Amino acid sequence: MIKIFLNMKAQYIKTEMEYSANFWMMLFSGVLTRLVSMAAPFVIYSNLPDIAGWKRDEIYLILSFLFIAEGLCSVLFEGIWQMPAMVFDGKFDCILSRPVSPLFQVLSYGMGLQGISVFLVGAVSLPVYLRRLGRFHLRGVILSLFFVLCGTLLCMSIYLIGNCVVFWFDAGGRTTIPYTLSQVGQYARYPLEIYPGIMRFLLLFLVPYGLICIVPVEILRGSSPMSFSYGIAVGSLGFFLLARAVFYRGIRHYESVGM
Amino acid sequence: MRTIWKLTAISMQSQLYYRTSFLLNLLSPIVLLFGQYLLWAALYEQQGGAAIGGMEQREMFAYILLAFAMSNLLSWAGENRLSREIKTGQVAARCVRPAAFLTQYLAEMLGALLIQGAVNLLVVFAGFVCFGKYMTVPSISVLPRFIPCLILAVTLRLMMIDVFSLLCFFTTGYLGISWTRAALFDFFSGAMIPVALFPGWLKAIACRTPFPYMLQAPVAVLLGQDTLVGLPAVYGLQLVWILIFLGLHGLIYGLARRNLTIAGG
Repeated sequence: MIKIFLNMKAQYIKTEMEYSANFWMMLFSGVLTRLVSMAAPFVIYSNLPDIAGWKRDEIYLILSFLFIAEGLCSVLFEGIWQMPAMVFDGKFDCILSRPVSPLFQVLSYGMGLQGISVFLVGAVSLPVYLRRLGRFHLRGVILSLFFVLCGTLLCMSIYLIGNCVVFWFDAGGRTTIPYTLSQVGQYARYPLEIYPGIMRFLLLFLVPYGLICIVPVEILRGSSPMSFSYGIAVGSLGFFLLARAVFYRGIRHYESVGM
Repeated sequence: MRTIWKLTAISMQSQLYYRTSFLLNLLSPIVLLFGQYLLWAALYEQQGGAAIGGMEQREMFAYILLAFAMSNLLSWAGENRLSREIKTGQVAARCVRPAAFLTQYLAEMLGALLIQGAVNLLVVFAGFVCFGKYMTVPSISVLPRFIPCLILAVTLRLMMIDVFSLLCFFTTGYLGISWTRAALFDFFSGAMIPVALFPGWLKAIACRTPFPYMLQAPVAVLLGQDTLVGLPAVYGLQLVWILIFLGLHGLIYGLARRNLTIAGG
């Protein structure tokens, strides 16, 4: 299955690279959107010495984890974002009629070219800021790779749950709910301690962007115990199972074209 | 004029067709607005209520609410409507209608904008009524200065979206172009962070782009803040940028039409 998955992605990237203007435009937009995201803390830090004791480089480390997870999700699981359109124009019927797991088909469908550059921005900035914060050692690198893996799984689960609303709400193939969920990630770019309890609860348990990028950096900087890593692993797995359950529940509710 | 209003009415109907979705979509930006408040409230609390970058907390809270209303005048789907039509080929229908391409586009966008604008106005009104004591409430006396600035700002933004959308005639997808446009707008317009907080060199760059005149300038006029370049210059620059985008529209649309074949002719 993994071989088929990777083969499909390889075909998608070959197809997309045939249209070079579009390919480079997508890569450029990925870099630009992330540089703009990094510019926001830059402006805040040009007016404030620190945010709740966090240095600017630590905020950029948070962003690096977020970018890598978002980038990998976009490259590997872009099909999730195509679900509303698939349901609206009837392509989802084809998915259900094939003798392969519908979830596998959705995940392997399409490829977000922008994700390549988003991932690259994160992959370049992660070692840079690990080094600047003195965490670029074997333990730090292994932990970072583990957090990236968990973060990608969490990110994919959040996107999947968000896009599953299409099975319940008729939106003409367009809905902003998944987009809103993904935008909650904007608030996971700053330390959790600046937010009130309700926001921390949201970022840790409901839309767990905190587990993708804030808690990993807290562990790396030593402000949270190492045992929280297990919490991240359990949370990632739990959220994936939840997303999978919501997806199959949605399929049971699906009434084919014209719903 | 009847043609314009007809297209505007059709656009409004299509906005309201999926009602549940329409209501849910209205909620989405409000979630983000709430998050903005939490972030800035935390930053001001950390500063003990002192001004950040010359902006008092009350000013910032009012700015966030008004910037939210201005930046969410159009939904993502609404902004990308023309781009999607170009990608799917549905744009052909626009080219055969007996109305100018730009007139049709502006009329349709107006339809989407009126509904969202009315909702945003309600949110702003409710915000000032409920939380007015924590915010700088705009004075009615600034309205004669604000309304022309707002109209020019909205026109400028529509023209900018139109020009970026027309670029989709030359690519196979529209997302790259739309994301680029959205990223530039969100940052340089002051939708994410007020341009007034930018370091000097970045502020100077922002003022040389059309983006602050789409959002930062009208909000600053309404709140009685520094408009960065002075009010007469704001009006002038808004007009100049509209004319530039109008010229670009003519250029790009002309190039696209030269290579566009509809119904065999």
